[in-house]
Amino acid sequence: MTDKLLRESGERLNSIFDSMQTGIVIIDAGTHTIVDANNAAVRMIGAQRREIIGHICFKFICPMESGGCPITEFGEYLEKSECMLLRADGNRVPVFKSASTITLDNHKYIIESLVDISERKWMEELLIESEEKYRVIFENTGAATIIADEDRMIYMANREFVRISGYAREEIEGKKYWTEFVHPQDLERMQCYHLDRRACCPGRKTPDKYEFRFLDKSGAVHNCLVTVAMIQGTKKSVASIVDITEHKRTAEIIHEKEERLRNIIANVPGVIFRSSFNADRTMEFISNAVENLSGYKPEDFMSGGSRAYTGIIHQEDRRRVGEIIGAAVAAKAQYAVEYRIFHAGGGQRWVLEKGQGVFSPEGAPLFLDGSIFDITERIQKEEEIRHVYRMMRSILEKAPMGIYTVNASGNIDYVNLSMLMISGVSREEFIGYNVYELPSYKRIGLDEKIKRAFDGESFFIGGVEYHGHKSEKNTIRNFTGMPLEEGHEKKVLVFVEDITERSRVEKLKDEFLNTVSHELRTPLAITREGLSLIIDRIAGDLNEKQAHILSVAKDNIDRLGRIINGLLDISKIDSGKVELKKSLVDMNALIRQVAVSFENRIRQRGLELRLDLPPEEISIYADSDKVTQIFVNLVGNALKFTEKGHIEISLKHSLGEITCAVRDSGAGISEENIPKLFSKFQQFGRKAGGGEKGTGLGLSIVKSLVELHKGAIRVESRLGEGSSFVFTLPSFNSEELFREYITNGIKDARSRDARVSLIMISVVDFEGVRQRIPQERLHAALRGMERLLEESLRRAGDVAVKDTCEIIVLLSDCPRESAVAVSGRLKETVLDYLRREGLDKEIKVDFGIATYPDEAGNDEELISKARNK
Amino acid sequence: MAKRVLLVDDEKDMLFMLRFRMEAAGYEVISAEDGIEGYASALRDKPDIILLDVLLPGIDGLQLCRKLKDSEALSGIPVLILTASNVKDVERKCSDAGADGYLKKPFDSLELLGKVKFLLGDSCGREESGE
Repeated sequence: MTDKLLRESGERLNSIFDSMQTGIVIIDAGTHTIVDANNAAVRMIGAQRREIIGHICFKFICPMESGGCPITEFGEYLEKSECMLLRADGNRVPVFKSASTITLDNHKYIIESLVDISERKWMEELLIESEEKYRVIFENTGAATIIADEDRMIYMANREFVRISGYAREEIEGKKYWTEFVHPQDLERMQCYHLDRRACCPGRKTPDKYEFRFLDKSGAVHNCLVTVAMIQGTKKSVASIVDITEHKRTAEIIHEKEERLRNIIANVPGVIFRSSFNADRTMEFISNAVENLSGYKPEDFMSGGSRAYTGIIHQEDRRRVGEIIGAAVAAKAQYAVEYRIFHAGGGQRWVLEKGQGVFSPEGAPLFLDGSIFDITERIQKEEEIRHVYRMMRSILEKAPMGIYTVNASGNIDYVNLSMLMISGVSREEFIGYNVYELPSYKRIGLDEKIKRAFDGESFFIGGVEYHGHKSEKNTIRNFTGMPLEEGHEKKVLVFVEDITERSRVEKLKDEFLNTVSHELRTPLAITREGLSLIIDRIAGDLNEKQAHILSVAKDNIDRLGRIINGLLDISKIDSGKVELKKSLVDMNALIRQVAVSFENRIRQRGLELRLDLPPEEISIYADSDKVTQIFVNLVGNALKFTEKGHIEISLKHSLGEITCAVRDSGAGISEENIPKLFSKFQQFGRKAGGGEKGTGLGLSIVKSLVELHKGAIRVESRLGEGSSFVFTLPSFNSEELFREYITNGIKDARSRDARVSLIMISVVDFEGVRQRIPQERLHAALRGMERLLEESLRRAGDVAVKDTCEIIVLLSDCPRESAVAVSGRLKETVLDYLRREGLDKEIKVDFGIATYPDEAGNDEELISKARNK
Repeated sequence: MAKRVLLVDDEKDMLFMLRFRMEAAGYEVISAEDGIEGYASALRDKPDIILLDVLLPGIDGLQLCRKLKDSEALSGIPVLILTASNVKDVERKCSDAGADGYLKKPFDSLELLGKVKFLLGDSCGREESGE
């Protein structure tokens, strides 16, 4: 029985022995040979059982050399130590080895148990590798990261954390709590989070990211964001801290900028918007200014708001606005459109919307961005301006004179209604006339005048007989023209007055005056002659009394005559009828003549006549009769008002003009009377009647005559201290004089559609002659020639004008052939004269002829043509 | 022998005064009251000088003057124009018409007599211009 039990026990033990996963090797302690090994050990060793059994363990299963068995030699008791198992193929296998000694049958054996830990070892290695990896990541991550315990102890800190903390790693890990790095005000909150995250109840939603203020070693505060994750299965957490100070700062700046932008948008003079590209124009954004503009708030137009923007656009404008925007969007261009909107408070506003489309990458329109401006005021002003313009246009059209404008190429581009009425032509016809091509204009020289007006010369042509073309009747017109700057375009503005009727009336008046003058003068002449006959005792004798009475009567008849003359003169001057017959007047001679005619009368009054004249000859271009009349009037006045003393006539000469004065030592004129002096019919009382009785017209006529010559007159006088009448007359230079004279001649010819011929008589080599002949002789000769020519020319209208070396003779109504004949005659006369004076050798004269309009069109051409012959 | 003066003027009173004056000065006076009669009288009576008014019925004074001067028989007779007219350029017009002188009315009788004397005394002379 015990055998069976033993056997069974032995079999049991064997099967346990063989099925054990742990390798067991029994080794003879003395010989160190392997006595037995279980299947597991055999597998581990990797050799056959029979090879193993009886093999020595050294260098076989144990890497040790013989004699170095740790168990037997050193009595070591091995318990679960890691060793290397040497396999049969030479590989080493990591094993857990336990070895103990047993004694069986008085024999010592070593029992080794081996557990293959190669897999475990491999896993350990993997783990280490992996741990390494994570450590590297942990260490090197840009965020400061720590791993903290439940008790808040920082168990691990990475490089970045160490850096921002300001401490050394040794001071932190396992030594510091994370709470030490938190700003006291944030601590409570952070503690809450810490606990919550570790709490089991998932109910409360704790964020995994929080902001807090981080305090470093120096106490500096950093605004940080911490992200905390729990390590699963533990109460440890991983916290990553990012310094968001910069980030916060940036956010502040952005906020500031946003604020500023908001303010700008609020202050911009217009509404800024982004609207959807839909029918309603729903606003994505619209600035607050829209409230001012429309009376509605921005929200009203935005999605969910109370109205559509297009709803406040005036119905009449909606379609146009839609079309314009649509077209711009289709063309991917900007648009600008003006339209009316209804204000919430009632009434309309005019707005200008400018914008452009915003497109998706595929090119589909998404939004419209733009601005809207209130232009109500501008529109109102425009309407006002338009209204004013319309009014002015109306005024212009109906002004009581013809008005038209000419552009630079001579075409008429505007004409008013009155002008059309004057001309009797339709508007379409009138516009398009070219002033340089109209024969009726050329005939009166209007084309020339207009051309010169473009250069800045305004003109006035009065009382021209105008023959229009077509059915236009002949009229008398005034033309006034002036340059006009219309922007940068030069134009000429022409005013036309039809004075046909007025001229007719003028003519009637003239005729009337003529008749009247004749009618007045005839009985006057008869009566005067009658009185004269009696006073002269032709009809018998007279006694003293009778003679005296009749003498007084005759004086008054004379006075009546003077009044009539004065009236007729004035009337002529007033109606601009007086034309000055200008010629070169020797002032010295003229004044002397006047003096001579007054000599007797002045002497009779016991007064002294003084002449203050310059030594040199002074000539001016004037009407000698009229100038004489001026002096006669002034001296006559002086005579009337001077009882004793002197009357002085003076002449002075300065640049471009002469100054004449008649001064007396008479009664003088009081201050209050001076302004009225030159008015008509003013007579101032005088005590003693010297000279003729006045008419009250004298000074008025004098003033008119002076001014007709383009001179000026003034009086200096004080009561009791005599008077001085001073007047100036322009003197001309000879070229001007020539020119004016010839121009007048041509104008005259033109107006009568006649010819005028110019004969130019010039002294050959005048300079040379001047050197050879003494001045007085030359002067005398020239004057002699001039006188001779004047005498030879029977008709008063042909007057010669003298220059120093040229004399011109203008013959009106004279065709060339006649001029040639006259010229021939004059030549003979002149040569004859020179011969008589013995100057025919020294002075040679040239005769040149030119005729207007045959040979020349204007004064310049005429002169040059005549000179060149 | 007394010189014969022909007066042509439509104003009877003027003729009256002038006749008085002329006769007192020793001239023989004949007169006519219009242009045509004046011309006829000149032809018929051969005066030594003609004093002519401008405004005359029928043919006017200047035209008459022209006619007289154009006529061979009469051109030698000096013509003095007396005028109350206010016409422009009356001086020139007289001269153009061929007058030998002119005088404006009302005139000074001494001046008139002087001019007549001058014109009669120097029958081939020509006056330059009136006044």
